[in-house]
Amino acid sequence: MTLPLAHAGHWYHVLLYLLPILLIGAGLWWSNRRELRREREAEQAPKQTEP
Amino acid sequence: MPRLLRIGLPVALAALAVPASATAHGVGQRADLPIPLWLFAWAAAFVLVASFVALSVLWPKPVLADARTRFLGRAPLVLEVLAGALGIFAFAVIVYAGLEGSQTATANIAPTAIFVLVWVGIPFASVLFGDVFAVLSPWRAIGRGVGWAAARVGGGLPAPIRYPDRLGRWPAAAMILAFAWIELVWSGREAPSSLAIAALIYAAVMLVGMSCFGAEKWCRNADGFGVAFSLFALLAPLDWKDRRCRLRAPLVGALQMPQVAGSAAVVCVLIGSTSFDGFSQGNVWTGASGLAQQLSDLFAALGFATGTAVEAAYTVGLLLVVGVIGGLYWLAVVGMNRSGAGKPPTTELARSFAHTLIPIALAYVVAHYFSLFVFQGQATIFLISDPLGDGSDIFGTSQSAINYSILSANLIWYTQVAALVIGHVAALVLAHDRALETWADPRVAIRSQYWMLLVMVAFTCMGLWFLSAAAS
Repeated sequence: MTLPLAHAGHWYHVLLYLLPILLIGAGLWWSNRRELRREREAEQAPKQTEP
Repeated sequence: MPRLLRIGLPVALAALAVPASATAHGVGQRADLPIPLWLFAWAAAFVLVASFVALSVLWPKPVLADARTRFLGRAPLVLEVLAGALGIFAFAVIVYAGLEGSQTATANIAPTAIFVLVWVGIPFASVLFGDVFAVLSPWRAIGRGVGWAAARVGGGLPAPIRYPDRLGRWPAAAMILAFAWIELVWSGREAPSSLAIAALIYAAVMLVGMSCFGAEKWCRNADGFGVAFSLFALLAPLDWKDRRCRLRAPLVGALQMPQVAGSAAVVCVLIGSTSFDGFSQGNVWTGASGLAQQLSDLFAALGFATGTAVEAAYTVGLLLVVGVIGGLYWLAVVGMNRSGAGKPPTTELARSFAHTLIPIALAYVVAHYFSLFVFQGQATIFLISDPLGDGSDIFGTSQSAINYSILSANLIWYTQVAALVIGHVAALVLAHDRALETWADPRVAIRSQYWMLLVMVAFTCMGLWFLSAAAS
């Protein structure tokens, strides 16, 4: 069984359908990380102000 | 010029130039559409993201569970009896025509009745009027009739065996997969007599199952057709219970989907089998060096006969696509499970969110089969006059023909895109509402749905790719 790499023109258009998924995935991953970091900072902030 | 526009405009223009090369290979482009097909996937993804943001801002607490319904009326018992009798009569005609009629698929009513009127027509009717198959189902009608007669004559039937809870709806998922195999893989599907025998075997399995476990329990869990159509009926504005009809708001009915074992599998098989139907018409699968050819060669090299090797290749393809759909859903569920505090178990989440896949399953049916229903459904007009294909003309309509100009290629494409987008947005709405019920903190609930959004975008883009591949 050979991989269909010989003539990329027949399948490269799949990447055009894949790209929005990858972009949105990256955006959600970044957003998730940012939110979790903010929550951690918010939890740590009151502890730091305690005497 | 704003920075976004400065960057975005050249990118958009460059993107529009890309399909020229794709068109050169005859891939994914219709001559009379204003934009390339793949841009529809980008637009659909944008709509989903925008819907997700709007839901996060405008839908702060669960509302669907509390939605009110309005009583409309009650159907007489005689109507249910007549519908059951009609179902038995139609089943008998289909089987008789398949066995005794012409063995040319287009001249015999059996293939059109099974693949178009039942498999595509009943989902459409269910979405409009409610669970019509529950009253038309021939095996359920026989089971209920036997139960009624036994109660009148001999004091009732013996108590059924307890249906194992862990089986849930897995038998229905297996039945739907088996039907999809017959529809998409089996080389005998063109022969009306083979279809009739398959229908008889299915009916026998249903009758034996009902006699062992009880008609209602078996039909609710193991009748692939009954379960699939009942899921589509959950999206109907009419809610039928004990012949009482109530009007309900859109999507509210989906919350009634039983959270039992195999419930997610049923919907995944529905989506996966329809997806494979589209995928198997595209160049990646059917091309000269496509996956189907390569897999067939592989099985032929292992010693399979040519026909069996092709069937084996298509079986692998079907299972693979169903597996991909199931895997993506499982990914969404695992992602949700890891999203924050108070994590429900993964299996529980999989069942709890399975109803969100119902609009997607319907969207796939509409996108892939509505043109088939409109075109091939017209064949019913002449087939009903000549069901056996032996030249009879019972109702005087045997000379009518299919009008293929009733739908344009563009209208079909726009309907497909609209169905997919609306179906996935509806799924996002259901998932968002369920997440707000599951997690007390709305922030955690919304974050849990990042994974669901990603999977919905993946489903949409994949669906549009399959459709564009099939159309090219």
